[in-house]
Amino acid sequence: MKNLKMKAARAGLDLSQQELAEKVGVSRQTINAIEKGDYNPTIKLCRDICVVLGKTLDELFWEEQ
Amino acid sequence: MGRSNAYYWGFGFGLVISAVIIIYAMIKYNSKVRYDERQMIARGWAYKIGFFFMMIEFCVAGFMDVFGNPLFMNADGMILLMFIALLVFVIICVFNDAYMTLTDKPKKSVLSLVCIGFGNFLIGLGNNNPNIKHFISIVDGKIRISSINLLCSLVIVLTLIAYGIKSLLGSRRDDPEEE
Repeated sequence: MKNLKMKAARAGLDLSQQELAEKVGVSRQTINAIEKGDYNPTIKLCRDICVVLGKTLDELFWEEQ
Repeated sequence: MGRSNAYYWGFGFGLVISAVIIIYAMIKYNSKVRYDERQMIARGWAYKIGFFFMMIEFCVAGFMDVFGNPLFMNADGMILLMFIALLVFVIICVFNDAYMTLTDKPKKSVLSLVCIGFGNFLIGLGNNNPNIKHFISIVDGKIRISSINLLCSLVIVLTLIAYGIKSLLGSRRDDPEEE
């Protein structure tokens, strides 16, 4: 499932995938895969992304059932 | 079969040069080689597939020998099978964006591969001239590789082709706003 919340948060800060990738220390393809729902990141990477985007884990990664 | 002194000198010289280059690269670049978590998982998976592919290749080669076809039952045949397994590992890594590290610059890495491939090709050409078309042949029912350098350059060419295909596919499939 696509992670549109993360994509929206990134776009809200006017960050490209490449810029976000550099800030959290991963490749652009990894950010792309997370946003497309092709890869489930570890909790550490989730936390790093949240710190950069200024959001909580719930706001970006919690899926309502 | 006796080998000339020049053969052993060449072998020893190559071994020493290789060791020096590997030690230098380990000291200088080891701290810079870094993959992210997705790449590490992809590389681990590629390694596993490559390893089992090689085991299956060896089993098939063994069964072929049992049934009277010892095509791969010599050092050249085993080297060829190992190169094929290596190629499987590399192609899986390339198609999962896990071939280059985070610090690698794609153009620089591709250029390095081209240079290494071309260097191997030239050495292979020197070793093999004028029978370059037949550097892999079958002699007495067994594979014979007359130049490992040409095999290396072939593997590098196939790696570059895989990388090119991946780049073409990637540019079509990625999010357009990021291109």
